Amino acid sequence: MNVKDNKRYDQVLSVISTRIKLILTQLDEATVQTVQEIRLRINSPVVIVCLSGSRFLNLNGKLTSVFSDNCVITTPAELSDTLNRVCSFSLHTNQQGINSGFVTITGGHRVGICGTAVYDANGIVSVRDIFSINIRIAREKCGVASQITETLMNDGLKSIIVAGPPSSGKTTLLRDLSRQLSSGYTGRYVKTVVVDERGEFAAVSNGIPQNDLGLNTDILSNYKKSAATELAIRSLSPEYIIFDEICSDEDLKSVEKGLNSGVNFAVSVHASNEYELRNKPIIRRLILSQCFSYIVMLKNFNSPCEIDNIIRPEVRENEIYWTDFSVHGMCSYGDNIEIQTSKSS
Amino acid sequence: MFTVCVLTGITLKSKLQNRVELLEKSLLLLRLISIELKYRCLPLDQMIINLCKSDDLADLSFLTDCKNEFENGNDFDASWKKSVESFSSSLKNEDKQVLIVFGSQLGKSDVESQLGICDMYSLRLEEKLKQAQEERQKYGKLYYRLGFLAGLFIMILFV
Repeated sequence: MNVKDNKRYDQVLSVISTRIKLILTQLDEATVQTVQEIRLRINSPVVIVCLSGSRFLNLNGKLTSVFSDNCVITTPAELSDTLNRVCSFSLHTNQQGINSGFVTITGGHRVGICGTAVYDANGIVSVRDIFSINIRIAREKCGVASQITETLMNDGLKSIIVAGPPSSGKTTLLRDLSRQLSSGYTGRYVKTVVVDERGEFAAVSNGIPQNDLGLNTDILSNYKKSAATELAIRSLSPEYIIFDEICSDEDLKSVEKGLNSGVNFAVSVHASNEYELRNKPIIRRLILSQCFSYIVMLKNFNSPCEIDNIIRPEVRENEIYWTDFSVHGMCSYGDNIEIQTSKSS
Repeated sequence: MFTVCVLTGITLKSKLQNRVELLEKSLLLLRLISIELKYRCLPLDQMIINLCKSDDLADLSFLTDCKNEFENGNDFDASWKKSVESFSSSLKNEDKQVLIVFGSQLGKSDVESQLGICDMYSLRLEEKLKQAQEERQKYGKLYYRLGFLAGLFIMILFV
C-alpha cells in the first residue's frame, strides 16, 4: 500500500461524519488505492467511485454494484456534519467556494457541493439546502509528466494545453510538470509560477504547500488568474506559468496577457474527446494566439494521467491544422511523426 | 478568625476585579476575532491557534482548552461551549452565556455577517463590563470593610 495514498485517504475520511467514516475505514487496502470519489447524498446510498466504476458502500465496509437494504444511507444530519467539517466549521472562509460549487480541503482534495442557489442582482450569494457532497481524492503522482518534459521540452520550453475529461488527471499531470520543470529535469531549474486559484494544486495549509511543486516554484494560492498573471509577470519574472482549468473568457484573457509578455504557459481545459477539443471556442482561441505548441490529450478516468495523444496545432492563414504527434511508443525525443493532418477552420 | 474574615473580604473584592479584567479580555478577544475575520479570513482552527499564542489573551485559558478539544475532532460549537462552561473564573454564568452563544454563531455565515455578530456580542459584553465595573465600585470596598468589621466583631466577642 502506498503510504502517501493512505495518508490522502485518511485526510478525506477526516471530514466525513463519524458513522460513515468508521465504515469507510473497513475498506480493504487494495480498494482504497483505487477510490477516486466518495459521494454522499441525503437519504441516498453512499457511492464510492473506483477505477472499476460506481459502487455502493454496505454496512460491512464492502463495496457492491447492486443496491440493497444493507447499503449505507446518508442522513441529513450526517451530510450537514460532513459539510461543517469540509468547511473546517468556517463558512466565512469557504463561502466563495460554496457559491462556486466546490471547496478544497487539506491535502488538495476537491469537494463538490450541490444545493439550492440563492441569487441577488450580482449573482449567487449563498447556497442553501445542500443535498449532496462529492469528495474527489487528489493524488500526487511523480513521473507522469516525464513524457512531456522528455519529448516536448528537450529543446526548450513550450506552451502546452492539457485536455481531458473530468477525473482524467489533468491537475495531477500539471502538478508533476511543475515539479519536473522547476527541479531541473530539463537540465535547468526553470522559474515556475503556479496559479492555484482553487487551492488544490499545492494544497497550501498554514503557508506550507502539501504537494511537491518543485524547487524553483512560486505559488499564488487562491489568486484569481487575472490578478495572478499580472502579479507574476511584474514581480516574479517567471519563465513558466501553470494554470488549471481555463473555462471563462476572463481566464482566457489572463493567459493571452501573459503570452504577450513572452512567458510560456501550461494550462488545462476540459475536453472529453478530440472532436470536442477541436470545436471548443476557448481552445481555438488559445491556438489562434499561435503561442501553444502542443495539446496533450489525456485518456478517461479509468486511466488517470495517461496520455492518449499529443496534437500539434498549426495556424496557417487563420485556419487551424491539427497534426497528431504520436506518443504510443513511436515518439522519442521530439521526433514529429505526422500520422494524420487535418484542417479545420 | 479575624484573618479569615479579612481574607474572605479581600477574595470577594478581587473576584469583582477579576470579572472586570476577564470581561475586558473577552472584549479584546472579540475585537481580535473581527480583525482575523476581516483581514485574514482564517478558518476557525487556524484562528484559535493564533489567538492562543496571544499574550494578551493568556488569562482566557478556555481558548487553549477549546483548541485542544477541536483538534481532537470535536465540533467547534461543542468544543467552545465545553471550554467556556468549565472555565473556572470570576465570570458569572450570564457572562459565560454571552460567550457561549457567540461561539455557537462563529463560522456559520459569510464574513460580513460574522463581523456583525462580533459587533453585536461586543455590545453585550460591554454592557456586562459596565455592570461589573459598577459592582466593583459599589461592593469592592464594602466587601473588604465587611470582612474587616466581621473579623473585629468576632474577635471582640471572643475577648
